[in-house]
Amino acid sequence: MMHNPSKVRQKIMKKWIMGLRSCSSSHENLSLSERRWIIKLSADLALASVRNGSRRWSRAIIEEASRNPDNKGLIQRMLGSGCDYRSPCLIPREGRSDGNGAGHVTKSMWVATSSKKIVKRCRRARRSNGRAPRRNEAASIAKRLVKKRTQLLKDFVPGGQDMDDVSLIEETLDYIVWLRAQVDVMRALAHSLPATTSI
Amino acid sequence: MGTPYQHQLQKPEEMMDAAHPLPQPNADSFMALLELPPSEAMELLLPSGSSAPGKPFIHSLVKDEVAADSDCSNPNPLRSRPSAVLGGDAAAEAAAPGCKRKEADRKGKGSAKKKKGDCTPEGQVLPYVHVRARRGQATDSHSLAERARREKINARMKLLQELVPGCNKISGTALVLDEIINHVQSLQRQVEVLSMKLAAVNSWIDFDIDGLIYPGHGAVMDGNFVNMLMPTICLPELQLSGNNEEHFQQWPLDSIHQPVLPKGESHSIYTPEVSPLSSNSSAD
Repeated sequence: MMHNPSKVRQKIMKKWIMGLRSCSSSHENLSLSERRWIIKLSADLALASVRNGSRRWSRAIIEEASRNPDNKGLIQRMLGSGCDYRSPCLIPREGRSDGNGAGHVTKSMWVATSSKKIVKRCRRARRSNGRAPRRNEAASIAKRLVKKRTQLLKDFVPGGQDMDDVSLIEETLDYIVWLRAQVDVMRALAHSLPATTSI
Repeated sequence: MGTPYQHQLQKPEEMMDAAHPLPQPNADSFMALLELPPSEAMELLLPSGSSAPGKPFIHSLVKDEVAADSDCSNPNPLRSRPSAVLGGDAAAEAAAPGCKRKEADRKGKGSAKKKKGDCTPEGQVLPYVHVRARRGQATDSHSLAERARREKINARMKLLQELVPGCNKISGTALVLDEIINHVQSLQRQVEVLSMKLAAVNSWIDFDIDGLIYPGHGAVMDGNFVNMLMPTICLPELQLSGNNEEHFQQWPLDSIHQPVLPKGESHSIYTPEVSPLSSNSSAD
């Protein structure tokens, strides 16, 4: 998952600072919340780009950021116009890269996952016909609880909405590890900068 | 039968592209794969010589016409190897869904009982275990696939439990998921808080970096800034490289309750700035 944590963090830090630098021209006039937005966005993009799109959550971060037109400039500067995550081996088999990177990836993955859902629903319907009523209450309650939490987890993990359970857990695993790296990087910078405050 | 399994096929393909380029059976050859004797099928699915014969994996595989009960000695108990599954052995992982699917299909045609053991009449030792259907459990293909899926999920959940602090003692999926969600939430919240702290830094040197590199550009630049700049940029890298293991492992204990100052930080001029921040936020 993460073979060399310190190297990874250095990469994230470098990419992040690159992104921040690219915004430096307009910085005198930005409000606090705008600055915060840029700092967080560039940190997220740095994380996603170092992860290089080989995970659904990293692609989802970039996709979600791309939906806001205000972010386009930063995304292009940080990830380049030929985004890393769009490299051929990372695009799902159904889709081809046709220049419409983020949108195309989304569409083909949506097609893949929605057909998965339909099949799942059919299987469930088929199976539930024969379910004996002897299933105890506790099991169904437990199932419901787990389902609710799974849905919650899907909300927190980027790109989690269309995942099945197995991928969700794998993505969460990966996401947690790399998210920790991002926090480490941000904390290191926050602690080393002279923190005179702006009021 | 085609659609869900095709998607499963593609996922291990994704993992495998990183490790081994391998000719993957597509939908057409998949049916042909079913006709092949298992040993040849395994050769197709596994890259040659890459999987250790001794490694057991969770597998349901039936060999109606191949495996004989008497030949199979030493039945392996059902074992899960989550670290192997998730780690480097992408090839075997790719083999797993493929074989499972193949078996599930055969199930429909063949006998209801499955053979246990890991040898074929040819005497080859196959790198996966067969699962005996337990007493009272359904053996149709759906339940089989479902059970394999559930075992996969449980293996992953165990890994997650190890990763997230405090999850080891908890039993019960719902509570473990609670902890995981809390952990992810807290990490994301830390990112927010840190970006707020950084945004509040007045002398935002990094933003003015170009002004320093190309002197004469920026606003109020004097020698002090330059002096402060270099250690600023070098420092994070030093801190990151120096403390990686310990810092990383402090996660379970400290990060949740309080921010951890990086070790070895000698010249900490960091001062808490909570109050100006809170009064500032309302202004935006």
